[in-house]
Amino acid sequence: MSGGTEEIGEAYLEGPGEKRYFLESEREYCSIEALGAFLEGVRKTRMTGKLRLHMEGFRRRLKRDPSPEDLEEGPEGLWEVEHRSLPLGTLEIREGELFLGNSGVGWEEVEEWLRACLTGFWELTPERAGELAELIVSHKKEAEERALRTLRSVLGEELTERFLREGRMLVKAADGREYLLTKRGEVLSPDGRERFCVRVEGGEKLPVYDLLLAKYLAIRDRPQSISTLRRRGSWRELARVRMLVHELELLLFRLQHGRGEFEEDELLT
Amino acid sequence: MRLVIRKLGASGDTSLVCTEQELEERLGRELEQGYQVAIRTGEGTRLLGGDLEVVESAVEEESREGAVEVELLLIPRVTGG
Repeated sequence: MSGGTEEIGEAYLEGPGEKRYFLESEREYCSIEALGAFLEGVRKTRMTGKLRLHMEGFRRRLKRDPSPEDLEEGPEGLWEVEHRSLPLGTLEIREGELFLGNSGVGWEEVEEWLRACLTGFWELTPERAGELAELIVSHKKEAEERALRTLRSVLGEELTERFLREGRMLVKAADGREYLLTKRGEVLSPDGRERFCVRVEGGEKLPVYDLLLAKYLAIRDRPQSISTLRRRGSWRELARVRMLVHELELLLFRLQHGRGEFEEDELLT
Repeated sequence: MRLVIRKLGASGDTSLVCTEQELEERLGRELEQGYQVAIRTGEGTRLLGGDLEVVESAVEEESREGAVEVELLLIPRVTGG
């Protein structure tokens, strides 16, 4: 799916309330975790669309005006189940990337927002849910801005600007090797042909520029601490060594098994 | 000497200020959790790793050279895949 924004649909999230109320309802509900798994699929397939989110909740409350029949039922007759459906807002997905309002967000921010809505569900209005989303997005923006300031102070203005402009920078590691670090956090050989897996623990929760800074410093100053960057032969060199070993084994085999099985000129090659 | 500790991350915009004597107490838990420390001085930033002794020794060296303030960045562990 690409091009314009298409409607993906609506999702009804389980809000507060006993599980049985959700099971007895005709509507199909999903948990916050299930929504997360769905959005992960959407991210991988780079879908585009809009998802309207609702949260519903159930709770028992005392009847405001119990009838004589209710009173005859005993204490149980005094209670009723209140059901509330709250529109939370629209989550936009552009080629798999999530947007709240007009700001790009990660699942962590969406989850934080939904959990905040869950906590204050019974007092929440759709407007307040929107304000909560804005608050979380602005917090993320602040964190990203702070992370960029830190990156600037470590790399310097010139290098940071070049990195932001070109989307990649060459990092010279303490062991003398060089790597390309891209704005997306990929670590490549200088010619871009080889890719190295470099992971930052808990990186999914970090602002992007903090993640890049962590990788930059670790590659530059402590490459030996990253298993995938430890000095080893390239795949091409390894392949060549394996071929030589194979040829030697073949030669040895031929020598051990006498001349009779091979042509004389073949043995000389 | 004044030490400013900043932890990278979404909630890391609050810095923590301490003295050399309080360093172990302030960094101990983070280092146990796998964080590494980078030191920022006038000459630049360098990653020291996750060994408290190495960090303390780098801070002492800065102190001997007359630094009034040193900034330490707490960085999550970076590993291979």
